Amino acid sequence: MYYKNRGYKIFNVFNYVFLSLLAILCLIPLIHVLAVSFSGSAAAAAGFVGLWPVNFTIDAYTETLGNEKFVNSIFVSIQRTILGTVIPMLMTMLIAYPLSKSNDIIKGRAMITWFFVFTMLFSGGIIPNYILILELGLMNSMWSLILPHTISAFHIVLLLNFFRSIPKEIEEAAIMDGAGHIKTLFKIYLPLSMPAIATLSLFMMVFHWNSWFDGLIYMSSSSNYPLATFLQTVIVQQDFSQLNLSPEEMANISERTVKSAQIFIGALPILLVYPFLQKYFVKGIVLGGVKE
Amino acid sequence: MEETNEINNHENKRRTVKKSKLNWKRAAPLYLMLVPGVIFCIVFQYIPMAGLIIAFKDFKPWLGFAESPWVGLKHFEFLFSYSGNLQVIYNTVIISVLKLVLGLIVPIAFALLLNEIRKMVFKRTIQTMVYLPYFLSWVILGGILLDMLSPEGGLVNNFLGFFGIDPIFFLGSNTWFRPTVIISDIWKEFGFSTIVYLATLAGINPSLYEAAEMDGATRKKQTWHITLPCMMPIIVVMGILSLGNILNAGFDQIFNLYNPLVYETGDIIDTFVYRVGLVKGDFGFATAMGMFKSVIGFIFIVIAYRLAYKFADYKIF
Amino acid sequence: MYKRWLSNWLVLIVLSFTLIACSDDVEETGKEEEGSDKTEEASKGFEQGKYDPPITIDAVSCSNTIQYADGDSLEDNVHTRWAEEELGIKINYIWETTQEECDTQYNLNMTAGSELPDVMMSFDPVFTSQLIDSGQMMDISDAYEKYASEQVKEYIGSVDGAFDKYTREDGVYGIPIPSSAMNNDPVLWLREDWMQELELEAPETLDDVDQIFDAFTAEKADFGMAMSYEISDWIADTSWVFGAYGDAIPKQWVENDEGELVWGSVQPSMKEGLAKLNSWFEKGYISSEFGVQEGNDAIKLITSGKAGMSASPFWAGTWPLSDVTQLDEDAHMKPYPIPAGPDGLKGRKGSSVTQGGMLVHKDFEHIDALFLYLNRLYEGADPEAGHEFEYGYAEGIDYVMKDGEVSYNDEDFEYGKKLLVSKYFLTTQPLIDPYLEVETLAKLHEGAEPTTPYEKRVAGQNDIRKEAASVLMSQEDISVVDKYQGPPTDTMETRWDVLQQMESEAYLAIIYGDKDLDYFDKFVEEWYANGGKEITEEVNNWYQEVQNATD
Repeated sequence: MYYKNRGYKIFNVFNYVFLSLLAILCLIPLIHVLAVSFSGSAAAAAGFVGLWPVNFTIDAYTETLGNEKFVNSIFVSIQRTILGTVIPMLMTMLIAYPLSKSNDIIKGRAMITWFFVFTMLFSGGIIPNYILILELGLMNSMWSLILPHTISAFHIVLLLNFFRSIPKEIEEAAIMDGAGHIKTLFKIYLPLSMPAIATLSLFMMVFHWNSWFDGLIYMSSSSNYPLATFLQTVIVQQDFSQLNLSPEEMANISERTVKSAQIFIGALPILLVYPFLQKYFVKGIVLGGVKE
Repeated sequence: MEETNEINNHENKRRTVKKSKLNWKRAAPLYLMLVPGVIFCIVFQYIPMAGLIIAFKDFKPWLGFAESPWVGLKHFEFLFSYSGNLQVIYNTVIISVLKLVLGLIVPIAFALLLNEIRKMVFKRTIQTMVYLPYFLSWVILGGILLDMLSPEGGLVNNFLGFFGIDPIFFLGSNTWFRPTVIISDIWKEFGFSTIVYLATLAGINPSLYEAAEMDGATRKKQTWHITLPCMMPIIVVMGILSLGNILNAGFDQIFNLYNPLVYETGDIIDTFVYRVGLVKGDFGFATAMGMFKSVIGFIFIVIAYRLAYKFADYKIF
Repeated sequence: MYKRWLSNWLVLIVLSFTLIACSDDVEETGKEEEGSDKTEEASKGFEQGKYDPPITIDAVSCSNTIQYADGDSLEDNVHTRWAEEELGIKINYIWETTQEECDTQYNLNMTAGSELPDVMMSFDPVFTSQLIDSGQMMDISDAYEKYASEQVKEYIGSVDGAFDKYTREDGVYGIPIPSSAMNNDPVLWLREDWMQELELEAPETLDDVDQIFDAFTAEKADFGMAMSYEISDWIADTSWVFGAYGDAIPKQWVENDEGELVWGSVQPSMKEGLAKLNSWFEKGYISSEFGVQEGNDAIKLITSGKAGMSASPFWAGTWPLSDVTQLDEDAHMKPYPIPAGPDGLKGRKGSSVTQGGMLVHKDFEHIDALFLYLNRLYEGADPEAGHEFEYGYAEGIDYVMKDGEVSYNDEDFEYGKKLLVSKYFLTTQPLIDPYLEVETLAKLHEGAEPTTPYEKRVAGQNDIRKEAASVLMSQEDISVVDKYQGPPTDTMETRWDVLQQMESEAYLAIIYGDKDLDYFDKFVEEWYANGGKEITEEVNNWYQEVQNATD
């Protein structure tokens, strides 16, 4: 076996060390945010907090979790993320499947794909989108955050490429058995493309979890804001010189510890999703199994 | 060109399986499947595109789309004459191209290295860790980087100090600003970008490796002749699609990191336009600028699509 | 395996539809129609001090940092309830967003043809002129004359050029809402514990400052002073260094001897200020990182004990400078007056009192009600004993009664801290007599007994704030306020940024010592050649017009 080879063993040791260092490097900012969130506010403001809390306290968390709007926005976000992943995923599969066929089977395939790809680059901008949402009567509705993002050319192109790498023979066998396209898609392509589907789902989840701007313009009341929008309104750096604020307000706005706690709690759910999806791209899918 | 052959074979196989009884009945459901997608695309993407006309108008919100006066190519002329400051365009291109190239190579290399790890727990842990920075916004990371890269007691310079290197003013020096921006961007994004490649690796049929093993191929050879060719389609797709961003050098990042000391090397089209205050309230100009970037991105994608087809005989779609 | 997956999908889909069903019940925020809009009845409401039936004022909220008591919200809080019960005025928020995206949201609404709110606050001259240009705003001059109370007229009238921003040839399109005067004018804050330990005297001149820096850096700290790259900033300011050499202050329009406006940063006296800063930089009194630090980052040098001086507002002693005490028990900051230059000159940037203003939609039918509202709230600026606002706007929110005594201590509040009721106002800022607070604080510091309810309230503030106010007021005449209040001129729209950038680069290069001092002359020449000349002309045209209109 290749891994018994001496050269490979040396490589392997270096590889472990290198990847570990890289991973630690990536962990630093989050640990810093975490340390700040558990620190006393004066120490945090003076920039004394590195990777370990100074003057340990959980005040920031009690304050954050006590905020009604914060908790409410988490539910809005969960709802948005689930809908915003399931619907676009179905749509993407429905589009990618026919487009992964060869030109002989589906005429005008390239044309249709360009039709989608074009939208990846050109968009009307926020004003027409706003008017559209208004005209469709979707203002203040969850759908205004989901429907405009149903089609993503990037996702379509990726998925169709994954579909293409599935051996023809498998599909043909299914057709021989009398399976229709829908059945082939969901019973054969879907399980075989789990790594790809997990990847795209993750992309969609992360996108919806992190999007804030549409929530801000389409929701007229902050009680309907998704989490990312809510966080944006409280975390984003304020231009102090432009605001006429009293010192008490200034001190409140710049509470680094509370902001850090909010960032951490805000990122946590989506961070937790990842390990669950991970199995789909760590282990290979055994193609042969389905074939027989 | 191993990968080309591989792809060729694949395509050829497809052509030879061409069915004789391909009829409308067989294809109709396929077209039907596309209908909802096309409708959504028209409603939510193409209809709003009508709004692009304001790139040619002096748009006033209270007048609306129809009533705002036409100004022809004024915004575009302005864009070019004003940013006659070629430095800004040069900065944009150099930063974005380096980000594109490294943003493609680093995740692939990382995925390949990670693929060599056979301890599942370790593999998963590493994977989760590198994916974390992606979730912190540049507003937050900007603050952290400012502290970490400080020439007076910052973590990085303290570390360099061990090797007798003088403190480097990363964010305040025109020599170091671009490398700092590019490396920090890669550092933030690579873990997340790796996922696509890991998914591809997961899809490679293990029997291919078994066969190579039988033939006594070394791991290096296996990677070169099996892994990479299998990844090639996705690499090409990712590469070509990322070209659409050729003029997006990363507004959020640069906006949070730059300062007057490094305008010379760090100012990009987006930050420049933002500072000029043109975008604020001037939708016409903002649209014109977006359109310019899109057209350039689109041209690049079309060219790359053609090139991939001509030289590698691979159609990404 | 895929069967299980399919069933998972199904569950997800069913789940999602349930969620949709739940998400559809979003409140409708339509404009309420009110029955009585006859002017007669309306002015009756004004005279009686209450509208019956109540009228509605549509507003929007662009302030996202407001804190409410438990159960209260933007739409329903102690203030909105007060307005409805006391004045018969319902405040209806049609949308809310952040400060940053406020004008975007306005523009979207205008383009989409949606109704604008009845009243709009603007803090940004560009946005103000956009609103006025839209032709949708009301000329308020007659209504102001007719309905504004004497008190309101006195306060607004006490500010020079208060209406400049809103004045056009054919009318006045906004009500200025003055904020605290001299709020961001700097005083020198020094580490008093070091001053005493090193036996240093209060700095009278820039040379004294040199000595203090020398002692600080030798004995105590890494640097002498904290400064931001903005030069003239709300905190960690350096405008006072330039003020020591001439009448001009960088980054603002100042009047020269001929009564014309000129841009401060390109005046010859800047050169000496730059030379001074450069010498401080060379001596290591300024952090080499100042070029990447905004005020907020720079001030960390003080709070972490790395530097001993910053020029910051009088209120900075409460926050953020007080953080230094929390980290080092012995540390404390003390305010000092701005020192003089070699010829005895002193100067610093002055802050604008008229940033904010309220614009009114031209179709709004109850302008009298708006003035009733403002008049009433303005009474709280300096209330008489026994007035409903004697102690504050709302009991339990911005003051509490404890054992028959008024208290403003956070621990006595049910919510855990004192909240600012003025944030719930349509103006989002308190309605005040702009000079009253600093004057009162200074007076109290100098030993005056508090007599009026307002003075008694202010007397409870901490001593450092009073001391700093007194220091600030002792040099009231050295603050130089930006004289240009108009919208960006034509040439500014195309050239201003290039000039600003040129300026930042030149200033930093000279202070860092990358360029020698003579580079300043070259910069000034280029500044004028690249549009600075045209802009100066345009600014002066505006200045003339406004002065003619006010005369």
